[in-house]
Amino acid sequence: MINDAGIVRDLFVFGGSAGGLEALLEVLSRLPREFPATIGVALHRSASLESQLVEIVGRHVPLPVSEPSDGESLKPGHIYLAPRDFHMTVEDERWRLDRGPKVHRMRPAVDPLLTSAATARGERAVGVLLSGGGVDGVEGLIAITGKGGLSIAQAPEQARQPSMPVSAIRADDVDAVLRLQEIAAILPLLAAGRGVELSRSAEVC
Amino acid sequence: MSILPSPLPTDGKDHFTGVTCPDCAGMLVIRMHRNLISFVCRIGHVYSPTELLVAKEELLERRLWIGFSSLDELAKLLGDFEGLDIGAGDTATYRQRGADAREQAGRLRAIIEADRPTVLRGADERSIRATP
Repeated sequence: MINDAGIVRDLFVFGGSAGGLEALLEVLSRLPREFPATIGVALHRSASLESQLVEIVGRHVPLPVSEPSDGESLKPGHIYLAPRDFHMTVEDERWRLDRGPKVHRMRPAVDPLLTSAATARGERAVGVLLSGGGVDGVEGLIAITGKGGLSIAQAPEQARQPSMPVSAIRADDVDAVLRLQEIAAILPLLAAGRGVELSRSAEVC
Repeated sequence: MSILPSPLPTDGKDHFTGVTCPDCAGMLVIRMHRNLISFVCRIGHVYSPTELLVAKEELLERRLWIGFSSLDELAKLLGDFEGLDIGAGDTATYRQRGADAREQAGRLRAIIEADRPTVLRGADERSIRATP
């Protein structure tokens, strides 16, 4: 059982790298049109190449998608993608974009987003680590867990590149290891402050 | 003398190393957050052990090519100085130093081309220590 305390989780932050985009689409495309929480996403991407990430995600997802500008307010029911070459963090209910030092040789990196979500929202934050190589995001997930938020790792056997979720499972007390369809199913429940019964294999103690 | 603290610190705090940041040359600290090992410099570049090794290998190659390029450029410059008869050296000095620089450049290039960076297999799993 997770979220048995019935806490309303209103910020969901996702991170991923290789295989992360397809995993993200698998989750976000299953969300309902009315989703009361904010979603932030940091995927590893080229700092210098233009991409159509917003358009690609927007085509598959029933919610509005954008790359925020620095200082933009977080809106519920909106998906925000970290722009290329910027770390995206939450501060005082606003998005901050910065070209600070690369983290794990990446910008955007996952750790800054997840760590800032932990600081800004505490137990109301949920971190989800998807397919990807390396360990970026693991420290951020530990920060979320440390503040009473929920941490979720994609089931490694389902991830094209399992290193990120495997590292999270090994380094953090993640609350759940779930397949993408399961992640999609529980997001609206967590956003509504409902407890979620997990199958035994999904619970990680 | 080792340049990492040994044994690795387990108190969750930052400990100085003798290793510099591949991106900004600031000093790196090592930290073990739970059992995740990270290297972090003063301004905030962060590396896993694997990423640090890869970045150091890339930096080494870049610096070696700078060495080659410096020797190669010096040899060509000395050749031109010799031909144009300019500067405060005599032609014999230019010729000798130019030949030396060309030879050193060739040897350095051979070293670079024969060098083989660490081959890393698969994931970054050893960035996380098994729980004792």
